[in-house]
Amino acid sequence: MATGYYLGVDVGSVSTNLVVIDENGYIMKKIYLRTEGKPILSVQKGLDQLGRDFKDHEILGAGVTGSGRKLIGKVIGADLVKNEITAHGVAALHVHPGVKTVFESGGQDSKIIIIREGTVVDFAMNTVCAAGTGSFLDQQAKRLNLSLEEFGELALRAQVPVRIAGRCSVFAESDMIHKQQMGYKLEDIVAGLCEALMRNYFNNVGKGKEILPPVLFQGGVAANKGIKAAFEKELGYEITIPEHYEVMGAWGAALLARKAGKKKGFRGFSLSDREIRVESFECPDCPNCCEIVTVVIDGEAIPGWGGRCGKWEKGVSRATG
Amino acid sequence: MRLTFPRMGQIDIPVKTLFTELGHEVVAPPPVTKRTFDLGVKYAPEFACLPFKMTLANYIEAIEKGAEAVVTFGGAGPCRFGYFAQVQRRILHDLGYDFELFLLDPPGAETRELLRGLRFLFRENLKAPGRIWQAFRLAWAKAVFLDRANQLYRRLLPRVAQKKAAEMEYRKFLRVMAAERDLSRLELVYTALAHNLENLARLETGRVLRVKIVGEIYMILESGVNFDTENILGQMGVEVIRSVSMTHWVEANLLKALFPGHRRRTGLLSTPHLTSFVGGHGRETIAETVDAGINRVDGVVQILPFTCMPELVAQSILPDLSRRFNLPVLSLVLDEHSGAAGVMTRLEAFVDLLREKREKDMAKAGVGGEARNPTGSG
Amino acid sequence: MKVGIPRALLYYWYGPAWKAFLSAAGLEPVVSPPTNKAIMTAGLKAAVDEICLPVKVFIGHCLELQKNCDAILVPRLTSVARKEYTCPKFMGLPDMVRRLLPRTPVLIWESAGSFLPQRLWTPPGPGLLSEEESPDPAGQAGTAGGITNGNAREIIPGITRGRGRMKKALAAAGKAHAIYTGLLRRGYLPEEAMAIADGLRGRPAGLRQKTKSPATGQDLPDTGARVGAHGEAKQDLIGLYGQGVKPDRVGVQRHGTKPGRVIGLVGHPYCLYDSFVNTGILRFLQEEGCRLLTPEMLPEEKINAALKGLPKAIYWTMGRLALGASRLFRAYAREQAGVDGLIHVAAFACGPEALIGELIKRECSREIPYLQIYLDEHTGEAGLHTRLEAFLDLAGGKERAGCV
Repeated sequence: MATGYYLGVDVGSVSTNLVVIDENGYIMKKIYLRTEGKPILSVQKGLDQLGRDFKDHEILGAGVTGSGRKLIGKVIGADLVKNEITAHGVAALHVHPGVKTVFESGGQDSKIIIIREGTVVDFAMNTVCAAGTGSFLDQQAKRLNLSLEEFGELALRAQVPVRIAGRCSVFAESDMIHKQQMGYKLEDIVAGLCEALMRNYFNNVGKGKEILPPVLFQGGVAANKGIKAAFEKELGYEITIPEHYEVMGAWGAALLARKAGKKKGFRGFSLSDREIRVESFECPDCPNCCEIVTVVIDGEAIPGWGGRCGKWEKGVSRATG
Repeated sequence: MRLTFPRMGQIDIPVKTLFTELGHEVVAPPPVTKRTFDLGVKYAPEFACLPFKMTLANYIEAIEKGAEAVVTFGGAGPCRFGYFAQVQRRILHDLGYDFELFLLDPPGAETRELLRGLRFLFRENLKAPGRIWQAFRLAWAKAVFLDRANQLYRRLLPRVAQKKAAEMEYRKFLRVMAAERDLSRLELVYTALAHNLENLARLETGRVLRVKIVGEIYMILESGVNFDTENILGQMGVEVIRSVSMTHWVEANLLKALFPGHRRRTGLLSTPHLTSFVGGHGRETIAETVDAGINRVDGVVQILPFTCMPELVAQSILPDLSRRFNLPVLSLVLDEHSGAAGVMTRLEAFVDLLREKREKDMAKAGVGGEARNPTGSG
Repeated sequence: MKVGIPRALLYYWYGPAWKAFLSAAGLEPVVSPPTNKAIMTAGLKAAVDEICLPVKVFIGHCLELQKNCDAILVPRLTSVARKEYTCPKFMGLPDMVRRLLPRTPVLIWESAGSFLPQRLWTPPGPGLLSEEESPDPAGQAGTAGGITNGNAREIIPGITRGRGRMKKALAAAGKAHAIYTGLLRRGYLPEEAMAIADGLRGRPAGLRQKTKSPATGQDLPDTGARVGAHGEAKQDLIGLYGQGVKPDRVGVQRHGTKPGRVIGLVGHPYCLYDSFVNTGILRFLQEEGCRLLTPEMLPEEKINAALKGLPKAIYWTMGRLALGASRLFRAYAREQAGVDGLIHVAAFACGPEALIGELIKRECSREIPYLQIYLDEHTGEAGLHTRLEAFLDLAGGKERAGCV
């Protein structure tokens, strides 16, 4: 049992995903956790779970992506820290080498990635608020007392989707409540919401992009059948949801770590048992007022970051400053 | 009367020099911080652009530090910049801030205001035109050297190994430049920087990726609002080129008549994609993107503030140029809600995209990437 | 040959002039239908996301027109008055639009200083950015100067300057514009004024005489709405309505029927008069019994007089009118001369309005009941009407107290 594995971590605002892949890129185990505002804790939880299966194996490389990539990269000692657009593109190309368009819709943001001949040639991220994304759907499903699966199923049953204003999540919610009070059927409202999110996606993220099939739809929102149906209705053809749609970012990070080669900076699964603290403060030394972040593991400080002058990266500790 | 002025990138160095040399006491607004954002957003109209909000906050912060008069530039439209001062004055007066406004409109707009402003600026030296000339010469020389140093820094940053050291050198240069009062020593200060930067250890990079930055001038030059995009790109090993700079702005806007070349260049390059002046830097954005396409720059980043009218016109047309020149373009629309994480992610992904594209193009072209495929522009 | 005119942006100022011009030039003007959901959706899809709604709507109208027109008239009104501008986006309009119309050429109505065209031309539209063209961009740029007037001649035979037909067409445009603005000044809303102007084309003498003498009087009552309501012109109008225009839809009839509140409205014409974009604010107010005053109804001299003392002249024509009209309405309210409230209607993310709106708010909101409305594609009728109702209660407080 001497084969090595690679670890991929995607730290998003809503979910934290971890995967372990083998040297051929196959997923050996995947973990999907809620971040709940505590990225370090959820990564520790995930490492703990992975550690049960893999503690005897060698992790040849670790890649981190997602909005918390910088912090988590420092904490776990990642060999590679990559933005989530590239990571998603890499994973999509791995599962479907001929893919031309990738829709990704996660907790706080959504993206489109245009791929031609196996290369990312264009991309976009949402520039308006979270109304088009996973956390808003979660919230509304909760408000309607539906699970996400029920939510999707319900949307499929709609006959006349209600038009719901979709740009701002606050307005979308009040519009939905208004429509409910006017007596529209629940499934029509749910389907209307799916269409509003779809419209939002095409008008904001997908605007001006050349969307060609095959299209992969990944990210947490892909679980929602109603959204998938709304996308397909608009495009007029089927879109594909990959098997591991919810952990594509983490998978991409792992694949990139594999590509980068063996580095072994990873601090190990035992990290889950250690005490990790994050400290942040505004550096008082010059008018730039940089916000400095430092991580302390079991009382031992890792060099901080966030400064423009570079002295914190060198490991100056706050006490001496 | 203690003077202040709006901040934009390093413009505070020559402007402060100019006013000081003219015999005024100057209170420069502090650099952009979180508080600047908070003040600007709190008191400016919601749909005003970020430059409006930030300069408004500049004035507040400077007045708090003791400034009694604001000297600023105007314009004759159609960009909102020319009307900033009027609305800002009203807002600040309603807030109870007491100060005098001197507006230096370009000739042809509000000539009376311009004369009043100039009379005020020169009042210590009305009898000594030689001193006025000296002050302008020193300030202009500083601006020229600052732009030149900036250009050098942008070119070398991706190529040197110790990026932090380069940054420290550059910052030191800025400090010395700000304090220097002797015209003849400016060149020495610059050569010292050039020498120090050139002597830093180099990386084995091969051909470095080149990205051109286009867009609205304030957003490009003020690193406090663009998340230090140039530096970030430089740290990622990308050479940043841009034509917009302090001296370019002065030449193209204030001294239009003396430097007709800028306008001609813009007109020639932007036709037929954008056939009219649209205010601000809209036409320059198109022209410089075309230039980037012709000169085979690897990518273009357009930086614009939310609700900027001229840049929106340009943004509408950029996809065509991108297709035509096979040139990736990233538009960064920034406002007070933009987060550093989002900008960072986009820039990183953009650079990844450019790297991959270049590898592919080089593979297509055959050997080593030296030979370029002249028919590849399609 | 059919030339489309988009019913959007400054159509509400110059529509009749464009129509008259094209007719006199021997072409068939086709005005797009009033904005509807399909037009708006098409515009939203095609335009850059951050741009204002009126420009998106304009693009929607162009896309609608290309279905059945041979060319589309796209104005580049850099300025319509000396030392002023309209809006940077209007200056880039032809370039933003033509790239979306692969088959239909655009006829650029280019003007500066006055709304009449200094140049009418067609850029090499279809195929401009296609694959076939010369791959050498530098050469492209070099020859671009020669485009002028080249293709315009093909679209309008004999349209070059100085030729008889151009002169005739320009004169027709000027005349139509004079009649139209005269009607606006008498208190007609654009929809009504255009109906009248169309109906009177056969019998110009009757109305032209009246339009030549804009109503006079002291202060507010001269500004059209009231005089217009009782004047003879209204009788002509009622006659015209027999030909299919529903009187109820156009609220002028209500002028004079009951003494309602008078509401001053300011804003760019395409925000005030496109009833789809503004979810029918004007009709709603009229149905509530309000009489409406808009900047177009006020004599320009008065607006300019109201702006005296501004430290720097406003260089956007529409902004100048909005601030001037607001100041006039404020003055009327101060003098108890009959304006009960002020509504400012602006497009979300409109550049000039962000600054001018701020000035209006600061100058007027303390002295006159004031409401600011921002329109975007998500503006909902229900929410807007709730706000308007509440506003009318505020604006009518004084009057109601008097009635009881």
